Amino acid sequence: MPTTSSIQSNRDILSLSSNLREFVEKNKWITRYDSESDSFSVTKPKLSSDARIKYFDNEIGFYVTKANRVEGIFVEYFGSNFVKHHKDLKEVLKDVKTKDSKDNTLVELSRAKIKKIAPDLEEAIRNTIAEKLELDFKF
Amino acid sequence: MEGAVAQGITRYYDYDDKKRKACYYKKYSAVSYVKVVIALRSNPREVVTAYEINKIKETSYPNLKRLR
Repeated sequence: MPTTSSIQSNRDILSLSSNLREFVEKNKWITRYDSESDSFSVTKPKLSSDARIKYFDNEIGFYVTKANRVEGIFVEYFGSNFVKHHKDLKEVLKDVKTKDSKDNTLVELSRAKIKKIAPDLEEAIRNTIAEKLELDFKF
Repeated sequence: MEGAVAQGITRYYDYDDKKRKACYYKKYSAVSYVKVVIALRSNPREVVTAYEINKIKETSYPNLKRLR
């Protein structure tokens, strides 16, 4: 029997998959790109100490707490893999990549960039959900 | 450096920057690893990032070599 907490968490994932930008703005989640590690994340402003990155498929990791609450998403190799497979996103990282600079490699993305990235991320999250769905057909 | 790598650590070249970074994985729990990304050219080696994760993403890239 799912708990109230896990049902809320599932609702959050569904919200992320259908309207990521609105969800991020409403819940004041933070969108960051780390050019040094080439990772992208959308998370609660302060992650719980027990939040860990968990993959359900190959593309997107989720920050999941011990109580099974989702507190964010994480994409490894964002520029070198994810963006390469979503070519319309190339320009998003154009002025964000600051690999030559050792300072300030963690960049908070603007609303305009989030708007640009959102459809591809939503699709990736939907694919993860589809992979995770266990449909029990009993006739 | 090669001889200093502890047992039970799996290493891969970093997919984003094979020449400059390497990824180290150590089993941390039944379902997770600790991943540490190291800058190879720094002396002493600098940690780029570290976190707990349940999957070794680098195994998804068939052309990416494992460090022995």
